Amino acid sequence: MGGFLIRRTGAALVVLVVSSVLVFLGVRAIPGDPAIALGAENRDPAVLAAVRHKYLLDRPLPVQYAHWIWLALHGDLGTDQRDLPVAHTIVSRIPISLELAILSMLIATLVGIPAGVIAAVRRGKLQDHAVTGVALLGLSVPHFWLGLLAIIWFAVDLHWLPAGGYVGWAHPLSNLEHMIMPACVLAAGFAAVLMRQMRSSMLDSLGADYIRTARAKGLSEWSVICRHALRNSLITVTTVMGLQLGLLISGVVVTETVFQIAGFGELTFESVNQRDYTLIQGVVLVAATGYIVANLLVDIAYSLLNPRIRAS
Amino acid sequence: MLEVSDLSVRFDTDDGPVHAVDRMSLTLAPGEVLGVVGESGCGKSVTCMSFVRLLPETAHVTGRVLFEGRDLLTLSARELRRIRGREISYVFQEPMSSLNPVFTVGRQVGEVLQRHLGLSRAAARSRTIELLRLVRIPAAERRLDEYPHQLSGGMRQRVMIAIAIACDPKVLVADEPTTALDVTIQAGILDLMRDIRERLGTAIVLITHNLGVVADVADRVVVMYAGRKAEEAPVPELFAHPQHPYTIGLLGAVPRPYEGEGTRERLQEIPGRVPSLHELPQACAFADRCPRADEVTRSQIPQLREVRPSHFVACFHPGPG
Amino acid sequence: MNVIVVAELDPRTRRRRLLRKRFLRRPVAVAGLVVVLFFVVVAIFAPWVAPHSSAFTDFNHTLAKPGSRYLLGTDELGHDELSRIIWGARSSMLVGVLATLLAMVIAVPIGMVAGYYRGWTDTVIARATDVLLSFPFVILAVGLAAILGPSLLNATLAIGIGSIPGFIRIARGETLARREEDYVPAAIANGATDRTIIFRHILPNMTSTLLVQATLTIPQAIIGEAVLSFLGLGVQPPQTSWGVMLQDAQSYTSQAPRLAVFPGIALVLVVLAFNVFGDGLRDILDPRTTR
Repeated sequence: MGGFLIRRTGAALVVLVVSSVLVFLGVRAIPGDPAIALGAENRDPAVLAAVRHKYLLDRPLPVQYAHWIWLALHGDLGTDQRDLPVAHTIVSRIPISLELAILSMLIATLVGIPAGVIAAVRRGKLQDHAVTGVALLGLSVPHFWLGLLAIIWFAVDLHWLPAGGYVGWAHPLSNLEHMIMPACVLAAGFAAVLMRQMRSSMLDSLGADYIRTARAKGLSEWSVICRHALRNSLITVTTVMGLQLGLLISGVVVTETVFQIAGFGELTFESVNQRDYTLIQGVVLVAATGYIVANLLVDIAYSLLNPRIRAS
Repeated sequence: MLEVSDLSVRFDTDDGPVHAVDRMSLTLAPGEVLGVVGESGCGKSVTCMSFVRLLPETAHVTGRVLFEGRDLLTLSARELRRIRGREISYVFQEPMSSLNPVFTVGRQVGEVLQRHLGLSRAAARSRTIELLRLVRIPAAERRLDEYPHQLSGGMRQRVMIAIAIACDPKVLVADEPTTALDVTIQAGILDLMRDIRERLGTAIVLITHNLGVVADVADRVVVMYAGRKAEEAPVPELFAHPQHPYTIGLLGAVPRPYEGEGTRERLQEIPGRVPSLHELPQACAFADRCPRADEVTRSQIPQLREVRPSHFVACFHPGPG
Repeated sequence: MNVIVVAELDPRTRRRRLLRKRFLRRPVAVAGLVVVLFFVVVAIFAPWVAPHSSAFTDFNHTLAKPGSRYLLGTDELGHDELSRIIWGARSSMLVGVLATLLAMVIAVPIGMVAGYYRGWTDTVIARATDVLLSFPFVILAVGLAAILGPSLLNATLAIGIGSIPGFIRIARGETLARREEDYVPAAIANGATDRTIIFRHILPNMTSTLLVQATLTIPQAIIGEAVLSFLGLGVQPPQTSWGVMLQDAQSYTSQAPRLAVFPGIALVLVVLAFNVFGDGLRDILDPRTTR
């Protein structure tokens, strides 16, 4: 397992470096003077000179890159248009988005996995068709539209839940009230994918020889399904989760925009609207880094679960 | 002890019904080794898997399977599960895929011990080590915590056997236990089976398409063809005086080492193919390929008759080749 | 005696007939195809089908409810909703198809090369794909919008690039499997070059898998376009798309909720139809299918 982890971590580092290079080059590709872009559009010559000095804009590109990375690793991602340190803004917003992401993944898992299992066990019957149909719908409905509909229905018409905004953890009940709709909306797409993957994976597992052995041993159906088949299927599904992470990040951006939650995603949206290049640069870099790290964690989880990797 | 009568199995497929087994009957006495022989698709596995209802839902099983006086086909699911793994257990053909890849060997053996004998985790562990030693797996303590993919094919099969004999069953059904293994490993497994019969007194149903295996281990043999029983006899009797043309054909097709005198005999192959199992022909299933076929065999189903002491044949023209 | 001569069909016609038979046994997939074709036709013939142009406004009838004059009502600027939905179909379908095509054209050769040569080539391509994956399509669109400004083209690029890893994976997987087949060493023994093997032998066998993947990628691309337009990163006014319409609708959720409902329904219909048809296609092309 050690070898596997080392290789995966090495790969992740390589990807991280290349991605950061791309972000770096991207900022330099913005039309116009990079000093203006990096200086949050401030055209005051003194400020421009200071920006040029700080980012070493007169030196060759590789030097600029190294310096820029150096600054980033020390938590300096520049200042945005409102003169606030980008890193600070991003860091203050991440916990909110993290809460949204984790909550929605939780909901998706709690709904999607059992549904997929039931659909596989009752293949071809009513439960299977119901789950497959719902999953298909979940895949086909853009979740921001779902969000809009949810707001119209639950907030505007029924007044059960607030239409948007965010309340901190100091008021847990209110926090939940505000988060429940966005989390459910974001969870819809993933639950759909999970349902389908789980179903397909369980069908494979249940058709395997070792299930016949388990039955021949006289184990109860519950034991056969939940212990023998499910363990194998969960491992396969973990790899799928890794691929969904990217969609999760995209989904967070959209959902926060719809529900006006001041998180990392909404920050992304605002940064584009304001054409705040320093902020955009910081956001893209952090998003990419976050994805790579999360992916690595999924890989680690997978290696722990899969005995073929763990025991070698 | 085990009495199967009038067993028929029909699968409903998209291409129509498939009659895999047609009115089979079998008996098994305590401690005896019964060989069930036939080519692929003749219904031997299906017959034996139907004892404890291990077939998929698409299979319709009719008939009676009496085990110690109780009909297993009508038993409740719960009662049946008490018999599976404890009184009647199985060893399957593919050791690679018959063990769950995500559980350790120890866990998979211990599972039956805990479920049927109520052993605690610790007791199951030590008993598992004993069982692994019984099936001659070296370094048993270490193997306990290993995963199936870390063992060789032969060892995996031994683990399967350990699982099967863990609760000291009365019947062990081995479905082509050696077919997927190298020839050199096969002998070891067969040795083990003989050992088990002698030491534990377990009755064994040995399914195989290899007559050599049968000659080696079995007491009695049943030859199946196209879902029906063709011939049944004690092993020495069958090999010395085969009666059914199919059996004779099978024996003729066994390669024998050249013994040095005269010209070598050609391997006899049986011309033709196994009939499709979509219909139940009202005739001898072997008629199309049989050198002794005539009007009678093509129009009636031959019934089992005792043509020599303890030797039964379903043929209109039994006799030596 | 009457002799009926039955012509022996060649294998390709036979296969086509088998596929058609299987397809017709799946009414849901057929329905999907019908809906897809309907929207494609509407999108192509938008100038003739839509009652008004997409820029048309009627300031006397803003936020009108559905009625005889404007079948689906109007928005806050007096645009005819029905016309906008029809014109929006154009943008959405265009982006969906173009992005998918872009992804395929780039990704399939790369994936095949990775699967065929393996070793270092494969590793490098795998890492490059990872780099691509680390920029989720929204983030990518944000980046592109910063550099090039938001537009339909950029949305197409972002979605296309985002779809590349999926096709690479499929092309690579298929190539890996097929290069082990017996006809490969046979072809090499007959002097075939790598290029011949890849394009003449392996690629044609992949077409059905690629077709299915394309049919299932287009709906994701359509949703992606809607998302990007909703965020203001895609289609810009006066052009319209369903995403843009939903963005406008966001401000009027209390006054005119229907503004959000209609474009969304159109989206769901198209995407669902594509998904259902794609699923059915995958089913009938699978050699293991019995019906």
